[in-house]
Amino acid sequence: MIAKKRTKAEPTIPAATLSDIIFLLLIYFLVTTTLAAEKGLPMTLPGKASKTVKLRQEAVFHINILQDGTIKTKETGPLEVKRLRQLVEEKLLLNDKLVIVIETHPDANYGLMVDVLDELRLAKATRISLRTTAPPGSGA
Amino acid sequence: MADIIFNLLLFFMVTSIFKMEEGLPILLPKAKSGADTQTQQIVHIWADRGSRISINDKLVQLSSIQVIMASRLEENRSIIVALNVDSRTKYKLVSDIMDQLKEANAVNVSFTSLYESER
Repeated sequence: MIAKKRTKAEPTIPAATLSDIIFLLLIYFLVTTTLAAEKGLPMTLPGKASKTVKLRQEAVFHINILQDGTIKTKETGPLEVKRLRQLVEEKLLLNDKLVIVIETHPDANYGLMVDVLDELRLAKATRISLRTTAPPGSGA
Repeated sequence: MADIIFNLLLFFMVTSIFKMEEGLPILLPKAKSGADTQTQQIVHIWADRGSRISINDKLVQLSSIQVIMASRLEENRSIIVALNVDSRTKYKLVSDIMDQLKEANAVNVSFTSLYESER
């Protein structure tokens, strides 16, 4: 009796396509993680313990956002948002410690305030203060 | 080669966050100077045109923000509050929210914006 020689094939998992699948998964996660990044305009609010500092008039630059959406400064009158960057850059050249106050009317759109803040950040302004226009008759 | 790719895959699987906060349907303002915010320490506050405010997918009253944020700050001192506010919202709402944050001493805020490329 002849013992039949068993040709025993090693069981293997086909690995040739595995790297393809892994590669696709990799691309998927690469794309989704970059989309998760969030952008914003960082700002530090004055806390409860912050003291109010009195500043001289010439050390402060006011930008007013009115109810109807016009943006105004004392010197130039109404102006476009896009022009703010250049204006502020020039101001900062003269005085790099300039404090810029964005005074927004309570009924103005929030988006406008962000537009102005964006321009200031593009002009590399760091000392920015946010303020709300006091409603008339409040005595403030 | 396959090993390296596999390692990369694991890395991105681990770092990507699947749990997404739904928030409120809003139109975010656009900004060119937006900076990346560190996502680990963010607390989102959502506010839409109808002055609804949402934190952690729960609608909250304006006056309760202070309490919520104060308890969050106790857990983690260095949180950043991301304000996701509709650009058409009245500024008063934002200013009221910021007053609440100041009271809670949550001073690091970020006005979430969509990236707009410079022309």
